[in-house]
Amino acid sequence: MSEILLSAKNLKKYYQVSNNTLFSSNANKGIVKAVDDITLDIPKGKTLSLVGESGCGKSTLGRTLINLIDPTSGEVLFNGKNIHAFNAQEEKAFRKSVSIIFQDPYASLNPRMKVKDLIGEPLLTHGMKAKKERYARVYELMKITGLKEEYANRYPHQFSGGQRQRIGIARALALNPSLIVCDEAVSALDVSIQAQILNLLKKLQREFNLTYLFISHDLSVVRYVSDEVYVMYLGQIVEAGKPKALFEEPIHPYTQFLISAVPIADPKKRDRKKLILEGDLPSAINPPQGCRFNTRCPYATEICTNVCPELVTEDDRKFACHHPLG
Amino acid sequence: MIQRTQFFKEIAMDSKLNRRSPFGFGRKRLKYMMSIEATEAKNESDLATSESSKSSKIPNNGKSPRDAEDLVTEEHFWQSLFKGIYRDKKALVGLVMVFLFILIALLAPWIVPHDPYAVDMEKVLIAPNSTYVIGTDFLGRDILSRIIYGARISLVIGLVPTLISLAIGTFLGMVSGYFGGKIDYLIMRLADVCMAFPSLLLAMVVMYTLGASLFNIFIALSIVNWGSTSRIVRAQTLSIKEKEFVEAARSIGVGKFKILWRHIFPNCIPSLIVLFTLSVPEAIMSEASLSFLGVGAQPPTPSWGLMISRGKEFLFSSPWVAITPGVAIFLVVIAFNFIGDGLRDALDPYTKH
Amino acid sequence: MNETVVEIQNLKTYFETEKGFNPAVDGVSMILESGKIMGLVGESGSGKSMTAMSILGLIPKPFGQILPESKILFEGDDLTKLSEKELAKIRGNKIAMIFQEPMTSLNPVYTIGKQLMEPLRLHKNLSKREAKVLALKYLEQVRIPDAAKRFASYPHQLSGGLRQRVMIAMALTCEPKLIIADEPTTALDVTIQAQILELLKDIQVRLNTAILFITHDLGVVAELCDDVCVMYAGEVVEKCDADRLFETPMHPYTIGLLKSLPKIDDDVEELYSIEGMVPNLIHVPTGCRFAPRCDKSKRICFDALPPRILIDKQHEVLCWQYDEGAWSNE
Repeated sequence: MSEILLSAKNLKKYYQVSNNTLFSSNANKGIVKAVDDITLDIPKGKTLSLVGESGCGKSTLGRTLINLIDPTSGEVLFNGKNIHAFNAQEEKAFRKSVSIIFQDPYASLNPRMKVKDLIGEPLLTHGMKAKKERYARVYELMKITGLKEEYANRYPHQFSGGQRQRIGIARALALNPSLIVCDEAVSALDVSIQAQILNLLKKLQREFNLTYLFISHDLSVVRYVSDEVYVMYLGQIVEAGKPKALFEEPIHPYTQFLISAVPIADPKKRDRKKLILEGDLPSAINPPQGCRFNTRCPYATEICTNVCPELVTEDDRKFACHHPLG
Repeated sequence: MIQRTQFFKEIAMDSKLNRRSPFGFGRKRLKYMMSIEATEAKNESDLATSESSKSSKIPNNGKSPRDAEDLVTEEHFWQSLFKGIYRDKKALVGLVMVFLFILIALLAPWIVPHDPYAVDMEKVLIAPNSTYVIGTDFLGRDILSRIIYGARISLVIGLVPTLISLAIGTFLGMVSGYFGGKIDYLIMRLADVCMAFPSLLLAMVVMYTLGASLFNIFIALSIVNWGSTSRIVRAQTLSIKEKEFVEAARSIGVGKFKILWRHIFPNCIPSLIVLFTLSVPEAIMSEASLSFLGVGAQPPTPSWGLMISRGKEFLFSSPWVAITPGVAIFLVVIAFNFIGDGLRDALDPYTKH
Repeated sequence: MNETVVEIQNLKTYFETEKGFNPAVDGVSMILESGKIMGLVGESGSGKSMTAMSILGLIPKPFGQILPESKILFEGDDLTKLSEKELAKIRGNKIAMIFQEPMTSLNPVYTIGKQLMEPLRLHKNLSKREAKVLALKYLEQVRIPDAAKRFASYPHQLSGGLRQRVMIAMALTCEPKLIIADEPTTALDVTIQAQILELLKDIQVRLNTAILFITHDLGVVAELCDDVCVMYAGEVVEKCDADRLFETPMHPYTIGLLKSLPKIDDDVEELYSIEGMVPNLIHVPTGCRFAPRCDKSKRICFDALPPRILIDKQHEVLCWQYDEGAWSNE
């Protein structure tokens, strides 16, 4: 068992929404349980992935884990210490050791800053005031992420998506973090560029012993990068395990449907038995009682509509289901 | 890519709203979309050079098109701004007029034909002639010289209170938008109070309380106009603070005021510039109105508003006394408005060429 | 029975930009047949969407131009030569389009029922009641649950998947000969995407329309399409049927793309990645447009345009490698 870098215990993030319209205010108040009682451990030097459809709360969870969003309840431990009880100095150290790469490389870089200042900003914030020293580090980072030095004085809009994502990565690396949250970091990129960035991320992980929390909706990408996969559905973890086991023998019906829905780039597999999930994701406001998946699950029985299944651990797999497959 | 799909969406949305058919793309918008695509493609080729390990294989026939291209930097904010103005004939006219206005104001002591304060009761209300190009007023003062000196007052009145109110409004708006909660509530109610009164009325109240003088006009106009600025800046801040780059800054531990200054303020600049150019004529008009009503500049200050006010008694016998300063106000105000419109168009991606 | 619906011959759509001409679509030829789904696959900037817009005559005229040698034959007419008025009759009637984000193509202030009925009443002169019956039939055809209830919903009350179904229903109302689907499932979740793909396939089998399916996702192509055109930098670099493309890809770009896909049903140690990026079309490379990124390129690739080679009478590829004489001479 490897060392745990970050762990969450019974983490919850609820949002209150009031459905105000012009003539009826507070007609129906609801609570969105974006993150609902999640417990997980991120081992050091590994890649842990959160996967799920849009609205399942994976991004909220990622941000709550690094304290960009305050949780409603529960705690997050970083190297064994509660991050919500940090004093100012510890908070600063924590900010240095975690960073985040965003999905949209067009939105996550301030359009009015030059590349060298964008990459240098974390350094400046954490006390590297001397210009010469800072820019030296910036150039080093640019080299690591495959950016040409002469790009330093350009603005983000002069770059393509792939290059911008490299800038984002350089920025995330600037302070030698131990944990990087990759929030859909390759989802906006073209296939050939996506492969470049994925390989870069892998290479950096080997070189700097980085830990990744990889958030994605793309199951193929998740299988490629992960050491451990957590599948989320409506704010809860429904299944977790090593990628090979999880993708080849899913235990939770939702995982099974999710995997089956992914198109495979091989026409010979076109006629494989495809499971198609009926209906849409239920609204996150006041989600279904009992197992959240019961409204769409073909195996659902009475117990599923009444009792929310616990996440149980079997060997190195976890699942929350009354009727596990296989 | 995202940006482009975004545009696609917007285009599709617009066309649907306008014509109820997804096929009514506006030409300009499509052109803009294409230019984005071109930019993307260009940048991608940049990287192709950087990353292609095979650049040595590329036959080099004298010049490498890619190297040349590396030097072509994409235009940035200021460039696009000036380009936009340059292409817009109306804005260009406005710019020339404003430039002349500033030049006249600065050089006033050296270019006036007569002393603007010199009273000569023997030359009262002379019609325009070769010595007094636009005649004299009821105290025999040369109107042209007074208008030239009046330009100084209008310039200062146009710039200083506008800048002050812009600064106040920007700061309060950013704080209000970024911090939210009680501070937001407080600032916005204050702004509401300011905006609830007609600005001229409020300025008059301030002037009556403080006493009529040019300096007090500064104070009055600065206090009166910050409300709308803070509203606009607050709205901008609210949208910018949700952008990922702000979150990115937060994630590395940048302080709140540093975020305001480094990330939010620069992204408000385009609208502030437009706001500024549109507020300057407003301030000039306000000063003229206040002076016209007698609560602004006091005689013998050569303020345009005051000159109209004094000249209105002779409107039928000697119309040049009141009309010429009026024309001056009209020209300056319209010049600034031309620039303001031009800037707004230049900074709006939809109307971009 | 597969008959030719649209034949595109040597389509060239150039855009005029400040820095020169941008040959966004440069010499694309393809035949769209009824009852078949043609996949048009490529990365951003490859010109795949512009090809679709050229078919519909949606290229903004003064800046974008379809060059005179281009031909788009549809029911005996050349679409590139038709007037705006004549084109308007074809668009949304004989040729329908489905967009990526249905929310933006639906008017938020009308119910979907009203929006569905409008083209029916307009093109077919139906009474309100007849139109409603027919519209409901289409909603059922795209398998919208509770069609009668949904009929009175506004677009924002529907989920993304349902909205896309409504868009497809709208496309069907005019019984088009050709449906152009531009990344219709890109904005959707995988489970919803699977539903929509299933639906499109079903429609194509039942109604025997031709579908031009534009996507960047090779997985979707493999699931859905009969034939595939792979576009790169404005050109079709490879064209054949889907089975063949995935089994024996020939163009180095296609090969690279397939190798750079992460796989859900297999463990991959290290992904292959094509170095570099799509070239700037304003400064088109003299030879093959893919040459700077290709790991097989030889001198000839940079010097001269590659030939279009037909292999086994069904597999078209734009690459010097398969011109044996020239390749071995290098």
